[in-house]
Amino acid sequence: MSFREKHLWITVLTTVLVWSVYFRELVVRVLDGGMADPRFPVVMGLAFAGAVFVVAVVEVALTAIATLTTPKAERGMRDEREVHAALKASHVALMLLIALVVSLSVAAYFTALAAPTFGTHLDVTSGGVLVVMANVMIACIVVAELVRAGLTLALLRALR
Amino acid sequence: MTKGPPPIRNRIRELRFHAGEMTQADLAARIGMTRQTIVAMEQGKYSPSLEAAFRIAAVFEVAVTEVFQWEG
Repeated sequence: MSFREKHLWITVLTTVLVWSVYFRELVVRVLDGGMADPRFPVVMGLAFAGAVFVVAVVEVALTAIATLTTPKAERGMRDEREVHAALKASHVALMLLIALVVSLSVAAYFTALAAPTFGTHLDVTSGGVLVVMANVMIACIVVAELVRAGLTLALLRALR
Repeated sequence: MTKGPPPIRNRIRELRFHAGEMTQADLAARIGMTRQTIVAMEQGKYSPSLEAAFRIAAVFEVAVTEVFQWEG
């Protein structure tokens, strides 16, 4: 396995492990009515900062191990096959991210449109709602990143 | 766009053999690529860029057409 593939596996595993724990925590808190809690934005902000910190630490540690277990000659710059796979996967991930953001926009628009009809008051300025909206956008980025890394891996394996 | 392996045949494996059993890692290092890319080329799953093709030919000191042949 090349250094790039090891690094991609590190990205996939770290992303899945850390962000699944983070988003599970978010969903549990929202379902328990945590959005009404005034401490909700601070708690989730700290949890997000913690998740980013853990991702950074785990990726650095695992990359160091991957570096030590890969011959020096294979640790150089990406070659054209790896660049080709990365470009293809990045394109797909970008299209997916655009699709997710557009879908979210459409969903938000129709939610706002339908809310008065059902007599629902949607306070988008409340901290809880904004925190959830921010996290949904972060989730879109995480999914796109996961697809990028996973598809790059799949393409590298297909071209081998 | 067509699917399946590219219609370009190559003699990299044979040329490595004639170059004193040069290893895939050796060839990869000499042209600035990974060993996995050499493996992909030898299996006909990946066609290199023109620049890489010329680099490979230069390593074996042959014309690029001695290494790669169009089968399409």
